[in-house]
Amino acid sequence: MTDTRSRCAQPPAARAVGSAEKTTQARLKVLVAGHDPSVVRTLEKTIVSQGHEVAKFLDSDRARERCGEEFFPLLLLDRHMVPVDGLEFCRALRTGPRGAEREILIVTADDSAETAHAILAAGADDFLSKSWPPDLLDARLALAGQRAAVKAMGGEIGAQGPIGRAFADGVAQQAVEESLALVEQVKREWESTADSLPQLVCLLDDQGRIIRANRTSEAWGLRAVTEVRGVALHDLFHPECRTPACYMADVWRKARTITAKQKTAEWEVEDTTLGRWFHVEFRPIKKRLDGRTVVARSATVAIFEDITERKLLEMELARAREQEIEIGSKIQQSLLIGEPPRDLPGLTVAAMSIASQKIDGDFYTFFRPNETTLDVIVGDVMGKGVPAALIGAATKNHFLGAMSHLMTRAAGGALPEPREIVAHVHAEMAERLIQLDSFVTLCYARLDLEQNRIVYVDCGHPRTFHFKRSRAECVPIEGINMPLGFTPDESYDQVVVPFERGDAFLFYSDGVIEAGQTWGNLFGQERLSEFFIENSTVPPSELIERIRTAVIDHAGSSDFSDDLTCIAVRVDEARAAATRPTLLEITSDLGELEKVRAFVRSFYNDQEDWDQGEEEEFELELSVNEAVANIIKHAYGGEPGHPISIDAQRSDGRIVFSLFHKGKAFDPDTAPPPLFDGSRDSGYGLYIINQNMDQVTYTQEHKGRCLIRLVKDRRKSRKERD
Amino acid sequence: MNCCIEKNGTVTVVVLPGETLDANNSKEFRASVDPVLNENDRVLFDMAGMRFVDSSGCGALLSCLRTLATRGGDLKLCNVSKPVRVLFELIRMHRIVDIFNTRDDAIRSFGD
Amino acid sequence: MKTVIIATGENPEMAALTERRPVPLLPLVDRPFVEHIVVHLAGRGLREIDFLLSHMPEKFEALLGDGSRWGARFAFHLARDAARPFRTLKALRLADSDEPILLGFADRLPPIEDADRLPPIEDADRLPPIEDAAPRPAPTAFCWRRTDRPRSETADGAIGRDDSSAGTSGIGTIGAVTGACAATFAPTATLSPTAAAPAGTERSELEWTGWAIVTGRDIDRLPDDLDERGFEDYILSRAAEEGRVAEIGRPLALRSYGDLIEIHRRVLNREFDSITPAPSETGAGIWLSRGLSIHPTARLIAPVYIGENCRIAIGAQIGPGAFVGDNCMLDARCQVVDTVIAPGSYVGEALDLDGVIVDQNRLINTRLGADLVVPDNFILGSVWEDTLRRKSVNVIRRLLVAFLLAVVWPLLAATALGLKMGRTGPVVFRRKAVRLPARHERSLWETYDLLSFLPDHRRARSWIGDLFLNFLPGLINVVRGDLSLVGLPARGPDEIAPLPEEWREFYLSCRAGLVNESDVIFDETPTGEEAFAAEVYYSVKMGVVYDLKLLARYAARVLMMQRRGRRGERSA
Repeated sequence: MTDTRSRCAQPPAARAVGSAEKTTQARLKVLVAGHDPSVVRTLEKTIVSQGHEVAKFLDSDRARERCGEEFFPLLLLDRHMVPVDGLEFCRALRTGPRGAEREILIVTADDSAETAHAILAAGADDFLSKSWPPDLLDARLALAGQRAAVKAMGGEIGAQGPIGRAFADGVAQQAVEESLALVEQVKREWESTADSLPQLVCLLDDQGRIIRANRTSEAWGLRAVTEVRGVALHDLFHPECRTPACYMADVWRKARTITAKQKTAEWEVEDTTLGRWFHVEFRPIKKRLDGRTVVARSATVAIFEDITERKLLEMELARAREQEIEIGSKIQQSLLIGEPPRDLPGLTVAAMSIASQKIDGDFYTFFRPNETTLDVIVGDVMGKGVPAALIGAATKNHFLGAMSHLMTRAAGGALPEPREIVAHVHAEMAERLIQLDSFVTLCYARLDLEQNRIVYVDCGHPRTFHFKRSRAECVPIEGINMPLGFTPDESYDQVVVPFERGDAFLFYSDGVIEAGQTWGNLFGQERLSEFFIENSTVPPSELIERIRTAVIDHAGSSDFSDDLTCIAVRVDEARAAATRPTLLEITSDLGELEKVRAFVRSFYNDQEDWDQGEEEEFELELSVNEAVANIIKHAYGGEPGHPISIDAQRSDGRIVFSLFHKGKAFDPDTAPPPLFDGSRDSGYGLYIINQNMDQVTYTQEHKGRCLIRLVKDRRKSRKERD
Repeated sequence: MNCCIEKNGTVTVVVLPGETLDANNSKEFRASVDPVLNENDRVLFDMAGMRFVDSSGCGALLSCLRTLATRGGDLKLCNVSKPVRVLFELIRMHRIVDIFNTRDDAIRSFGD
Repeated sequence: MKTVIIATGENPEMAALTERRPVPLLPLVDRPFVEHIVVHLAGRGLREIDFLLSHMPEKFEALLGDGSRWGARFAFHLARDAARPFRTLKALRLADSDEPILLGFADRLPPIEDADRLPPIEDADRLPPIEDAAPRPAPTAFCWRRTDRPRSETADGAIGRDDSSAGTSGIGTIGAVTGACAATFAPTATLSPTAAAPAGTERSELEWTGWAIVTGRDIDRLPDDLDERGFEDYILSRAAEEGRVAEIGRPLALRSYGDLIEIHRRVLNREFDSITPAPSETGAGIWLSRGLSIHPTARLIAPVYIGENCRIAIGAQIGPGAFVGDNCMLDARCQVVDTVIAPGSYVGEALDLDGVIVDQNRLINTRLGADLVVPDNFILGSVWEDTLRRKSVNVIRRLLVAFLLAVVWPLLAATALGLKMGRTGPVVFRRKAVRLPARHERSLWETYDLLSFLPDHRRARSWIGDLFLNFLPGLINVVRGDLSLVGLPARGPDEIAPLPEEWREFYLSCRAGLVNESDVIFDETPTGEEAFAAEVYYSVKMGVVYDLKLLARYAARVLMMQRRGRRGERSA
């Protein structure tokens, strides 16, 4: 074999056409078949110049016929022929009579390795490429001719004989090597292209092991391209990692199931080990080419793109956005949302406002013009973002201003009507709102506990619900006005609706009824109204909480695109008889102090759900004691027999002691401050009261009655306050 | 007001009567304890039964202290209950009058 | 063994910080200083602790409770004199004459870093027998060696001076000494500075850490009227005579502003491993807690500790040597070096803090020893207008009024003359009024005399009357600059003080004027609420245009010869 090879190692081109060897050549009959006349002619010319005879056909059927009639030792078949292509023909010839004695060459345009394989597999002895230069063609044909001659001679040096075989093998081998070299060259071209890509491209087999990878593997410091073969994808990235739960292995598993269906799988993954983000693509490789099976070891192409930079930018942006939202919600909280009043006799109020992802323009505020009236203003500014929030704040401000302005004007201390207030605000804001292309929907509701009615001005806001306890039904309050800022002049009408004790009202923004994932599946007013009816006996704060959870459940997420604002007001039932008196009336006698203290203690202990401990009880006892002592000593100048009444109230978050007397109005600042050096033995009283209570006010009421109001908030002990 | 008075060495211990020392009875208390203050230099008030003291009570105690101090004597307190002690700490009484947890400590503090 | 901690809590040098809490309750990293002491003692088996309190005892008791939180038992005693509590200590008879007690000060934390290596002490009775011990336990004073290298001693004592003492021989801990109590430590009873110091280059002296083991007898024999220095001398002399002086590592001391910064720096430098802050160290020397919001351009330079829920804004530079408590906000581009920021504080934009303690609204510069209280107005921004503009507007206004006065001067004179002739008694009345805008503190109020022809600023019967009797003389005050033409009603200090707080606050920050909103709007005397509403309304609306409007209204009333009524009457 070696000898033959060394002999054949001589480049065949050296054997030029027309050399002395020609004389050893027999004159052969050559069949040339192909569909392209020019190719056939070229071949014919070459063969004729080598001294053979040519029979040419453009049709494989005719060629076959002729083969049947005559024996051709050398056949040149074009691969693509009609009706039977070259490979079929070749196979047929081989399996036919004298099949092994023929020398068959296939002519093809495709010089890929696959084609070469196919050709040889079909039984051809060699192939010719149409793209070869003529002298190569020449040389190869000459060789073929020699082989054919050898075969035709038969015998030991026939094609079946050892020498001939070795010769043929060697020649064939060389041919294969050459074509492989070509393929190699092409391959290298592709490789350098692949290596120049910034992405990491790996060919994986069906087990997830790498067959080849481009040089990006080295650029990323993973492995050299020569060392990747057979390495599992996971091990390429995490050589040290032993975690079976490592994301990379998971990724391959998932990819496999997808690519098995001939689909492309792609994700973005974060690699915590390497600290980078990747965009990963797994593409299945077509195993079939032109309908024929192509032997391919690789099953998938995996493409990794490093997107760390982009990801970091995205995360920063998200963070910045979150900060904005936080600021926005802080603005909202501080400017737009106020605390509902807590200690309203006769009414219980609860409010909730949940900021949406964007800053919205919801706002609400409460006024208490007097002890028996509560004004509720709920509004929504059209638009979103900080401008809307600021307009909301400005609107609130205008209401405050309007209120104070009209109140100071009103004769006899009568309250201005809601419609006057709204009209006033509108007059001030309309032009500017129109300029800003914005408008404000709101409703202004005044709950009058003396006349048991609600005076309501609605400006385009969602209908407030009025729950009537006597009928257990929920009725929306109708309003007819336009939102503020629609038209420059607008008159506002108000509606008066009577209510009874036990009734409740629900104010809300459109964020509540429009919560929902899609149109047609919104929360809606009916649902809200039914919900209100169902939960009518629940205290307002609980009701609000339930509405919130219901909306979240309905929307499927707790992120909303619109603010949720909801205010519930319940008119308390007629007060049940108190279990213990919350009013104590005494006379200005220091001996009564014991009674006062006992009163404070019993009131405190009555508050079952206010368990703050003994220390707070003592603080209250001491403070009220000091306050009463001061009244006796200073307001009444020590004279006995004057009335003092102490009223104890407990509302949601605070305990309030109101002390009424008719003595000299007590000016806390005329009392000298206490000196803590023992030189004085008075003046501690006020200090003690101020330290122990959260709020102390001294006011003068009508008809010479003075009020000292001591307030203690829940959970605020002296320590926490510091 | 009947104050129970004991002698313990050179120290006169006065056990304050009742549970409260407030605006109502602090003057009375002050008056009733005055002779003790005038006759003795080292006085200790045992406040074991006291449950409530208000600012007038504190004032009365301070007045007692002043009376003794002008004569070169000293007043101390002991057995102060928790709520009363909170009050004393609030108005920093403990910086003016020695306050001890037990009677023995107080007596010892008078020295020999 | 019982422990007695002297926690009188007062330190005149640190007055600014001790306004809110006594010194030992100042936070070291994540909890009050004294709590570290308690934790270490309890961890070493010393569980019966008596505290001697004086300043703000309620705060101690609130924090420490009865000791059950650490499996200990606490007792609290009150001392009258914070500077000299030793007499009270004597009276307490906390130990019998031969019984040892561990005595220490609450503002000093001795090093217990070797605690892990030594077995814990459960009970003094189980101590191994002491071979060469004296028949009764000896008082032991724990000292540390301070070495002063005469290198550059910068203002920042922490860097310049090298007084580390861990590493010299014979170093032990309190636990070690109380546990072994014996031959491990040779008495290094030298207290004089010249001992063991190589001549010239380095001075080292032993300083008392503030902690010692003494017996009941030693306490009984305490001389009267000792101050802290005297007490130290006494303890050291007892230890030198009958006991020993044990040398241990340098304690964390909290006795000056600079100390506060330095102890934090030492802890962040990991000199006290047992006080390593709980949150994870996310980079060498950088401790970050939960809930932080740190702008990406903020720089953190070790050692630095940031507490929970802090916000650090753009471009801030925090560290080296910065300790930021919980819930703080450090605004844009501030620089914080060698600084301790107490929880809940706000550091404004572009502030440069170096060697400073920030405690909410107090700023203490430890280098200069200066402290500054920042009133709220300052943080929210100036409530008043731009100074220059305000000043110039002021001057112009006064000139205009002066002109007006010049014009109406004859009227004024005529009125005065007429009154003089018609009345007996004084013609001109003066009323004290507070000059606005004014500060919050009453002691800072300036007053002026508001002139009027009516006593007590009584309301004139008619508007014309008001014009002649109140307005005209008041013009003189306006020209003087005491108040303006239009504003809030002038009030005296006694009228301002009883106002409710919000009213007072905003009143003091506005300006006063002769013509008021409430005067002009109301015919009758307004009630408190009405007056307040009017004043608020004015303060919102005030400006040149509105002032002119009010003046015009006033003029209209005068010209229309209206009467001013009292409450219940209606005007014509």
